[in-house]
Order: sequence, then C-alpha cells, then structure tokens
Amino acid sequence: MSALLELRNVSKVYRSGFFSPRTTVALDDFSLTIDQSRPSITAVVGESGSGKSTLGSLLMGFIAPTHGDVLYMGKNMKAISAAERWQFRQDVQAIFQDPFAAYNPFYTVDHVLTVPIRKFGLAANREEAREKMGDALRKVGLRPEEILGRYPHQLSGGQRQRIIVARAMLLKPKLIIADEPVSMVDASLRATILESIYTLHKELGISVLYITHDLTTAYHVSSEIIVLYKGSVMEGGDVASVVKAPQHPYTRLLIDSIPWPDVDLQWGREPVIRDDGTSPTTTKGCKFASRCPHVMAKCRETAPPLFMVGDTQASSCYLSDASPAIQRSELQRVLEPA
Amino acid sequence: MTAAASQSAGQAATLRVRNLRVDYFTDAGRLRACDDVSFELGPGQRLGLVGESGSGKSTIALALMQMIRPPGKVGGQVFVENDELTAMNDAEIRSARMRLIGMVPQAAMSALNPVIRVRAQIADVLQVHEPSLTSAQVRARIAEVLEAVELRPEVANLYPHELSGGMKQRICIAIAVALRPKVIIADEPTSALDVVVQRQVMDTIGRLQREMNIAVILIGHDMGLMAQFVDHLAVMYAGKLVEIGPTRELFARPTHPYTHMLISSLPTLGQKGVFRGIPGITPSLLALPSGCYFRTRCPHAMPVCTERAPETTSHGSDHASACHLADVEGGLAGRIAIEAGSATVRAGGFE
Repeated sequence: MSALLELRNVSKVYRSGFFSPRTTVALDDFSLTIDQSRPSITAVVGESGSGKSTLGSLLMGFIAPTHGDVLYMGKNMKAISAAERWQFRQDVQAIFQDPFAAYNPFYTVDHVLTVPIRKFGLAANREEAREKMGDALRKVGLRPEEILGRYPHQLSGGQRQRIIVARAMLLKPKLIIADEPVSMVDASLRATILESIYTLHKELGISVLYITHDLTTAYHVSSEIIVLYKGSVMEGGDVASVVKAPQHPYTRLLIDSIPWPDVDLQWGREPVIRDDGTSPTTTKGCKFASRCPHVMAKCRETAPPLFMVGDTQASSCYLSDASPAIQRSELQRVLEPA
Repeated sequence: MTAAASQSAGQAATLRVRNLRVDYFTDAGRLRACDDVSFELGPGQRLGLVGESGSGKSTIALALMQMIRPPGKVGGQVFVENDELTAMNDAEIRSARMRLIGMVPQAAMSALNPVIRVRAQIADVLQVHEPSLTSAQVRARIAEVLEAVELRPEVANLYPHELSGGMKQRICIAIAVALRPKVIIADEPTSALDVVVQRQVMDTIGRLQREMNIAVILIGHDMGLMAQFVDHLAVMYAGKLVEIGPTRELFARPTHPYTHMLISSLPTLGQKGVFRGIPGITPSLLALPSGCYFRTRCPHAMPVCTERAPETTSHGSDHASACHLADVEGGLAGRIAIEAGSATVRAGGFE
C-alpha cells in the first residue's frame, strides 16, 4: 500500500486570550491514512466544534499540526520541496461549503476553470482548454453552453457547486476534500451534487474525504465513516455497520436525531442531554461524558481507548469494553480491513 | 387554491389567507413571487410550507407579516381571527405584528443586534407593545420567556456573539412568543444548525406551540423535518401552491409529481447509493413556461400541460392539488405504476 496522505497522532490546539489563556483542543491524537492504491470515500461526521473542518484544513496544508505529523507521499509536509508542494496542490483538491463565496462576482464562472488550466498547464491552446472545460462540466451533469460565459449570480447554488466539483475534477486529483459540500444547497438538489461526486470516485478512482454533519448523506455516498466529537474519534468503521448498528452513545444520539422523511418513524426517542458548555475539550476523560446517558465514574477519569467491536467497527466507549482494545493510531485497521 | 387545512370541529380559523398575491415590479418586468395562494390554519395547527429556493415561501412569510416593501405589492386578504391585516394602516399593523403574528427569522445570527445585550432586545418588543409595564415587570417577563425557551435567566446579560447557534435561535423564539401571538411563522429556523441542536430547537417550538395553542407555519425544504413536525403540508412551486393536505396523506398518496419527487429525493436508510434528485432548475419568475410551471421538469408532462395551467382538484376534504393528472384515470399513482411496469418490461426485453 502506498499512502498519499497520512496523519500520524495529529493534534491541533488553539489558544486564545492574552491574560487568561483558554485552550481548545480542536483535534486530539488523530491518525488517518489515505491510500492511493485503494480509492475510498471516507465520511467524517460531527456537529459544529467537532474538529471536522480542522481536519480538512490540516489535510489541505492550510494549517500545521500542534503535535504529530502530516505526511504527503511519505514525506513530512513541513519539509517538502516546492516542486512536491506544487504536485500536492494538484493531487489534493477542495470543495467548500459555500457555493456563493467561492466565486469572484466580477468574473464569469469560466474564471474558476481557466485559472487552474493555465496554472498547471493542462491545455496546449485555447481550443483544448475549452474542450477540457466542456468535458468537465458535462461530467458533473451540466450543459457547457448554459454555463460558460455566465456570471455567478446568474446561476443557482446547485449549479455553482457543481462547477466547483468540475474544477476539482479537471486537475485529475487523487483526493478531493469536500467540506460540507451540500449543506447550503436545497434538499432536492443535494442528491444531484452528491451523485456527481460519487461518479468521480467510481469512474476516475478519486478518493474523497466527505466532511459533513449529515449522517444520511454520509451513509449514501461513503464506504467508511469516522464520527468525531470535540476533536476525538467516538466511533469509526464501515459505514453500514456504524449507521445500522451504532455502538457509541453519541452515534446513537446523532442517528436518533435525524428527521426521517417517514411519518411512521418516531423522531427522537432518546432524550438529549444538553451540552452545558462546562466540559472543556482538554478533559482527561471521555469528551462525551457530560452528555452521556450511560456515564460511569471511570469515564470522567480516563478517556476510553478504541474497542474493536467487529472487524470493521471500533467504538471509543467503555460500554464496549468486552471487545479487544486498540490504539487510537490503529483506527485504520477498521477502515480498511485486510 | 382554497384547501382548508382546518375544517375540523367547525372552529374558527386562526389564520385565513385568501388569494394572496405578491408582485415585484422590476426593470425587467412584473414578477409574481406569490400567485393566488389561499389556505386556512386552525388554532394550534402546524402547517409546513415547502419548496425550493425561489419558490416564494419566504415571500409568503413577509406578505403575512405585511412586510413587503416597494417595488413589491401585495394583493388578496390575510385574516388573523377576525382582524384583517391587509386592511390595516401602518400604526395598526405595527401593533398587530408580534402581538397577533410572530416570526422566527431564518438567520438567527443576523437577526440579533450584535452590539446590544439580549435583555434589551427582548425588552424592546415588550416595551413597544405594552408601554405600561414597569421595569420590574419587564425583567420578570424576560426571565419568564427565557425559561420558556429553556435558557438560564443570566443569558439576558450576554451579547449575541457569546451565544451558540442554537442559543441564538432560542432567543429569536423567545422574542417571537413574548407577546403570545396567535400565529408564529418560523422561516427555516434550523437550517444552520446540526441535527441534534435542530431536534432540541424543534422540540422547544413544538412544546410552546402546544402550551400556548399557537398556530405554526414552518417554512423549509427539508421534507424529513416536515414529516416529523407538521400536521399539514403545503407545497410551493414558482410562486404557486401546487398541493396542500394532511402530512400523512401527502406522504402516502402525493397527487402532484413535484410533491412525489420532493419526497423521493430524500435519502433514507433503504437502498444505499441511490440518488434521486429533481433534474433541472426552477424556472425564472420572469420567464415562466406556458401552462403548468412544473412541466419543464415533470417526468409525466402531457400535451395539455403546455396548453393551459391546471385547475385545483380536491382529493378529499382537505387535500387538493393542481395537476392535469387528476383528469387522467388512476392519477399520479396510476401513472407511476404504469411507468414502473414498462421499465421492468424494457429491462426484461434487453436481457
């Protein structure tokens, strides 16, 4: 196996305030490998403040980790050469949440496609560039004649987001990091955007890291899932196992809170304990302890390790302590079973 | 369309909307954002108003609050119990807003004033509508409404930036219910929140609605949330009401193709990796197609759909829709069954 990107025991700590500094652990001892020989779609799910966007920024090289290492093709990101960084910028593409903010309103939408073509020298001449743009747009289900030459405000949010998907594809990347790509798009259009991301993965073998708070769409597009809460992995593994048989109380709460489009399904059977904002992210114990209905004394003292509840599922909760424990850095074992 | 969402027990409707029209006069021409919409809402009922961006759902909210500004123009009538909002002058409507009809805005982050403490923002609505209140009474009322939305009274001393998204939305709900209005319009109150917080906020709205017997209009595009929260559902498309009826009935037997597609575009835990989006985009309100507005995206479009707009057809006491399929034997359900059947035949033929 050859790792495209690897996070090794990565933590990101933010400090704020001058006289009374407050420490926020955005990501805590997190390890993940994105393999290039085996394209996958991995969903990272969590609520606001879970560290999922911090994870995305670390992988894109926007921020550096406080502890641990980010490796690109086996080399530490801190020490890679300019040429390697250039290659990295082509290999790893991003799709962001806001399809409105991604555009400069003064340029036509062609701009977001022509810039990467020029920068990375993807086309020899104008005709070839135009052809490539057309192909990319058709791949995501858009008609180039309806799109090219228009200004961002003339297109719908769904169309704009699909152009961004087309741009990500244009560079033939190995990994696309999609940070909440559909949360600002109408529910009826979400399916079409996710479908185009899914098609890219299937047809071009691109790996996708799908960052979201929506477990339903995560279930549909991804093969593996990681559930984060306050920077720590709560549960991870094969998406069907985790969603259909969640072992961690937090995953259960997330699934229980989804409003299913089915009038016979009762919404929210389990009561929610509200986060009173008192439990800091720097706690030594389990981060979910203050909201957990099954909390025990030991939960507040030491954080549980990952317990392998199955070949393809691990839960970080003492409720599963009958299963064998693994290191946090071994999360990969349940994400890609041998 | 006149489908009454409240014909049960013969009680007077809390909210009556008759032939509501909103026109915007722009340089590019007249734009009808809300086209002849009528419905009724009984006390304590929950109506969901769904549609894509640009379908006119937020325009209806503004029109009900009489907050459409020029170049917009409102036609038709809106009654809250026996008061006609559309016939009021400026002073009267100012006193009616929040007292008769309250609103929980879409973006709680931008609805609150960032440089004023929460206390003053809640006090504002109380003091304007009930000037006789003493400052001690105002303080007591603020504590009371904060408790109603499950916030500690100390929250009144905070600034909006010190609150989480869910707390800000709760403050907006507190302001909306402070005067115990008859109707509350909640315009996508949870679209910026994640699932767990969304559920908590909706629980709070639901509880207040029951306790105060308020009629609620929930605006949104998430059919899942609608299935779980509202008892009646109205579906909007390009400014028109295309279907209205009890939620359970609409989910079980949708009679408009758009409703059907909205429901089936939602992911469930069933087949994994099946995406059923609605192809195409909402037509521009300045260049609407002839006949039925949905025909450009409708998989069941017939020649008649191009010729004239469909009439409203009733499907039972409080279920109605506007689709030409009502004149076809078997309606939408029959059409879907036939198409599913022929697809199977085709697949079989190829193999």
